[in-house]
Amino acid sequence: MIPPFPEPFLAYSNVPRTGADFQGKVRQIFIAPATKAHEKKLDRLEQVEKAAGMLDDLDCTVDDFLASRLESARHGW
Amino acid sequence: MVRALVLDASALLAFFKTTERGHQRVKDLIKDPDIRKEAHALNMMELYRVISSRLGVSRAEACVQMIHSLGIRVADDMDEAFWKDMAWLKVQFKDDVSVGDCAALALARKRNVPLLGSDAAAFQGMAKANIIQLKTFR
Repeated sequence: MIPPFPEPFLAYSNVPRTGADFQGKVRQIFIAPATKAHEKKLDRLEQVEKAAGMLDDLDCTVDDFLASRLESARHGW
Repeated sequence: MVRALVLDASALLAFFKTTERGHQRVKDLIKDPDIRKEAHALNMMELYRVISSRLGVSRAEACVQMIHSLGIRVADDMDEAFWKDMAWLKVQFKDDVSVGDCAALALARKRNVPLLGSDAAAFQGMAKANIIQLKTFR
């Protein structure tokens, strides 16, 4: 438990007054952004997993694609 | 340690198809938030054409949206120096590279970063000749 700061000092500052306030500030300044960044990272990983199989039903493989490119190249494109 | 990559259309295709050889390698690179990723608009056009012609426009749109939301930037570089470099590559490698290949290659050259591409012989030859930095996904 962090003891409260003396009143005269607090009158001109926004320093947390109690231990609970202090913990709230720590949460607001340090923990919340870290949690948000972590959540963002998890969202991204989830999105990558979701995207990974999006074209599994596409009947064109990378080899087909490269072959068609080569064909274009041979025709000057 | 790679900090940035240019993705060829073949790499994007391999990412979207779990059955492709090299899929996991592309996926791991896309997952990495510390690697800046770009694909040229011409390569996006190639991918869009393949998907929309076979699965419809809405599926192609969904993939494009996904590419945007994964933070892969679509580069629309086509200034004079850029298209001249594309032309130079096409002249040098004639039948071995397409215009799409040249767009990906020129973008990687302009950014001075590796191209994430296939194991195509032409790409490997260019890497050996130090014309490009190549990272193959298969």
